[in-house]
Amino acid sequence: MHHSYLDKYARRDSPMHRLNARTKLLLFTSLVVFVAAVPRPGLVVSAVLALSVFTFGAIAKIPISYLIIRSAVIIPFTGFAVLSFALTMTEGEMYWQWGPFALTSEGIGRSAYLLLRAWMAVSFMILLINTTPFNQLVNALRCFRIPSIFVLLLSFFYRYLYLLWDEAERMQRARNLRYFGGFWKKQAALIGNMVTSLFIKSYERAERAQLAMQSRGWDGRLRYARIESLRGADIFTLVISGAGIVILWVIQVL
Amino acid sequence: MGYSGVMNSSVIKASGLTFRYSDGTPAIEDISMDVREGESLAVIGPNGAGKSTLLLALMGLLPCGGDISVFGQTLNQKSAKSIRRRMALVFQDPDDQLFMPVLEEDVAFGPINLGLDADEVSRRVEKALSQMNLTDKRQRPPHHLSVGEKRRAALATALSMEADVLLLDEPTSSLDPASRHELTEYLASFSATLIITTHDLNLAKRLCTKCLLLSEGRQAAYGPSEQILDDIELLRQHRLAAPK
Repeated sequence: MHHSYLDKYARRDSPMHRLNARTKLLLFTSLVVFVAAVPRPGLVVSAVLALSVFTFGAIAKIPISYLIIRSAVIIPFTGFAVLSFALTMTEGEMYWQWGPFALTSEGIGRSAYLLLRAWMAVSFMILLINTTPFNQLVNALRCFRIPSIFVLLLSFFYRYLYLLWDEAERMQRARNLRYFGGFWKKQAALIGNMVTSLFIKSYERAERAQLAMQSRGWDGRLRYARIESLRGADIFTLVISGAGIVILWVIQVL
Repeated sequence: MGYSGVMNSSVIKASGLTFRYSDGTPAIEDISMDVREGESLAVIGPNGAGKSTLLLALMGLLPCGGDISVFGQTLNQKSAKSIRRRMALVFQDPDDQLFMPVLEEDVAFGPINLGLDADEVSRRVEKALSQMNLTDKRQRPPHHLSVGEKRRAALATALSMEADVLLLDEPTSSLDPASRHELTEYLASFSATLIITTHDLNLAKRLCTKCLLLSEGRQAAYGPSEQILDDIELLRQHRLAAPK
């Protein structure tokens, strides 16, 4: 398997990695909620939040290049919204206009804030995923009373995503060995067949996994091993970060 | 690991075991066997003979016709759960067996479902991982393990059940010769009753006292291993190669 993992750095050793998963889940989720709740963060607040992304990244020994490349995932999702903000607002100083489209200072400002907020939210989630092994993250979710069926599905998703990915790669390789080009219609039919085959394989695997679970006592109810308790460093981090978010909120409101 | 009971009492007894797919095609038909204490059974046969289906049936995971009793207890929907506490199954494909995000949680899955307390779960996990030489891989997701490691990990998930009967579906398939030898010797040291489906007749000869030969879902032969595994003509007729 040679595809890059979603959580490439999750098993490194750093002060961030050593924190309890619940602490990190609470910390990064609070930051995302804060970013989402403040529609137009001031310069100081924006700078502090952006700096915190890189600071957390540095503490967790996650390369900046990785953070930036991974966070580029927002481009297709926010690109349309950013462009529509930038090109449709008429308030503020006008720089350019063509028919219904206009480029104004207000439009540029709003789209920049939107992009910044989206980037910060995604970066915080990337930090969470890359500082917390997935199983710990899932266990932390159930501590926050997330429905157990959702938690279980999430565990299976993580476990079998890579397997499906591998299967798809193997099928593609097999196809490439015997495929020498053709019309797009033929290609579309081939892709359709591959997706169908992948679906059937996944379905069959799901059935076998269920039998494996049943053979080890699964009766539809989730039972868990014990949860690690919070340590001093976790309490300290939660208090400091909570205070930091409150201060940022006050600065923003004032 | 091991079981206590009267010497030579029946561990698993099946008679007239039949399972048909939803379209009516028989997967196994009229299979009978009796594995007693101190014995182990090799289920051999060509591809598609119904070996894996038989294991699922013995675990009570398929709705079958016929009778199965485990340690004298009749297997039915009511008793299946308590019977499965004494039996552990290892699937042919480790990716079916390993369904949790990390190895340690997979090994703990069975003991937790047995309702054991946290200390006992930890003890069993430690023991199973160390038996399979996987202690340092405990926090690895299964997709980060090699094929051989996955095979041992799958076995560890069954070992942590500390069952009296271990059912193994093609345990040596896709293993290199050295790993195959190590696994065979390891299984030979088990005190649990083994029921193994395999094409590897050397493994069957080394580990099993009895053999059940399946062909197209039917019982082609059943008896002591030396009798069946030495019958070269019988093996050849059923597309099997005699052990060395």
